[in-house]
Amino acid sequence: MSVTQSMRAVVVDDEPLVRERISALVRETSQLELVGQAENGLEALNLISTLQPDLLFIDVEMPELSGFGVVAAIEGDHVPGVVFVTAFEHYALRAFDVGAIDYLHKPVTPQRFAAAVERARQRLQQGSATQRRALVEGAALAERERGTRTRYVVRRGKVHYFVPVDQIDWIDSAENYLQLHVGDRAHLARGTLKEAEEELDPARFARIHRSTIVAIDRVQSVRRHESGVHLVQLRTGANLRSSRQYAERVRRLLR
Amino acid sequence: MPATSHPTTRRPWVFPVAGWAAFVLAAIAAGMYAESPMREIIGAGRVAPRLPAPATDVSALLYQLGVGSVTWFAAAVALPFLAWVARRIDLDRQRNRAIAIVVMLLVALVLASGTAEYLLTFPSGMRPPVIAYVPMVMRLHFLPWAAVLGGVAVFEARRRARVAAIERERLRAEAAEQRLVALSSQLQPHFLFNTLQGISTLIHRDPQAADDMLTRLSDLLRDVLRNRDRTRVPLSDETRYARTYLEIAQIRFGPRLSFAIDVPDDLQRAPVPLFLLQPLIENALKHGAGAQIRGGHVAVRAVRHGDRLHLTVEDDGPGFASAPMERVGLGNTRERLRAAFPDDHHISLGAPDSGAGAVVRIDIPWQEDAGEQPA
Repeated sequence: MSVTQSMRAVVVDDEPLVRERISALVRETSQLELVGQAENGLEALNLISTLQPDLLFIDVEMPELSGFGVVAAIEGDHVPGVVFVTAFEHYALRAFDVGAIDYLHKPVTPQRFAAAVERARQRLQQGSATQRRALVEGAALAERERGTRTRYVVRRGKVHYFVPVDQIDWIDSAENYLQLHVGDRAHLARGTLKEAEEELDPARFARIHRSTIVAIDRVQSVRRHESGVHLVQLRTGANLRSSRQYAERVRRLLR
Repeated sequence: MPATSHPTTRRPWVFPVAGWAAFVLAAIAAGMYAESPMREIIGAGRVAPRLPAPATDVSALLYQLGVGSVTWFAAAVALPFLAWVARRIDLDRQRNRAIAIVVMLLVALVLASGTAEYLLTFPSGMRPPVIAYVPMVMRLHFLPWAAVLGGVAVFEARRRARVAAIERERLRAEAAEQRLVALSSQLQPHFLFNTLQGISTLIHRDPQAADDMLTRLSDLLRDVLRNRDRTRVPLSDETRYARTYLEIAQIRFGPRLSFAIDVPDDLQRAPVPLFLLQPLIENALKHGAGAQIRGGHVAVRAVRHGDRLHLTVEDDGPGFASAPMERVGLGNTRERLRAAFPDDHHISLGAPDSGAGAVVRIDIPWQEDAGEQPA
């Protein structure tokens, strides 16, 4: 991106008045071009993948998918610079740890907004792809800290949708993706099994293999196969193998 | 709350020292009378009190101090029992009974120690007639026991004053904490900042709307500040606050939020704990409209059933089953209900009759128009 080119910005907030104000500030700034507005996290992800904006002004506290959750779900090489907008002091501080360009406190003042735009201009000129990926990882970590995961974001083409955690029968992994098995369908979501194990409710999900997590209430039967290894059959008909490493956890499933 | 009563703990040593001094004086007096009971009775039958001669040696002094008296020994043994009795006397509700207990105790103790001394001191063949012994018993036993009971009463009164002072302090601290908790659960900063953000937006587009929102915010703040010194308010205060809060939220959330407040006029004066509804409404907002992309609805209702007042706050969010952790937010409400109606309230969480969502039901005693009492 050259210096003369304006930065293409997307504004995301669930409250119409906040969206309106920040959009107005974006329009008034010559270095910025407003390319889209979204009122929730899913819309935001759809806009990001279709418009590939340079800059995101995004609220942290939003229904169903927070600002951190949105950034954590961004896929591919193009990661926009992020300015978090929040009414919560602690999220503002967290935003910096995550690697955001800046954060804006509500109510947003024009002066503070201009400063954030200036920081963005500098950062976007020199920022590397690695830095951008680090932002995604940081946001994922921040999102995990906010509590147990209740839904995954899944992308099909350029459209994003939710898979609620309580619909999932079992999960296995492929490289940096999780396969979420719901009935006879499988959805691909970003993440590793280690992360999934950390962010899912341990009362509802159990890891039984290096590459498998099962929903406890979907388990139909557990049979001993050989020493330390069990065959776990789910109500959906899926047959899974546990590994020795997780034998203790599987034994607890039997109770 | 009146803040003028100072607990009487300024010179804590006065009463114990005075009590002890009284005890010693009583002991000396008893010893003086007890100086020579044998001579009194066996001798010329002099029963009138008289001053003793100055002690001439240590054993005489000890005798005069009453060390040899059965009474003091018995008093030492009886002391824990007396303290136990004193603790159980309820002066506020049973004054007459307390007096009767003290008189009966005194009679019983005098009789017991008098009889014991009568039997122990005199060899069986040399006992004086009981009628001659009675006046001596009165002097040798009544006075010490009266002193002992007096001492116990003084110490008990001191103890009670101290306990009451501590209790008063505790209640005052608790009331202050209740108010603080109530206030801190009020107007969370993010609500304030989001509202200010809304106003800041509207100023540019619709000054009249900005003015309206600012007025509502002022109403809210005025309510918070005005109610600072009370723990109970009329239900009308709570509903007005809830309405203003939800109106502001509606401006912020737009069509994603709808709400209904149904509180009949004849219930508006019922006293309720300050900010009882507020955290519930905030929760309903947070987990209903605030947590769902499709938005949500909040309903507040008050119904009277005989001498009970039923309050419900309902939302159409995911409900308690899917997020049991949300119960934590109700700690404040529970605490405040417990403080206001210690054994006479009920709070339950569940799903609304209409199906999905969360409802908090509160059941408290109905009181007519007692909402104006100060904290």
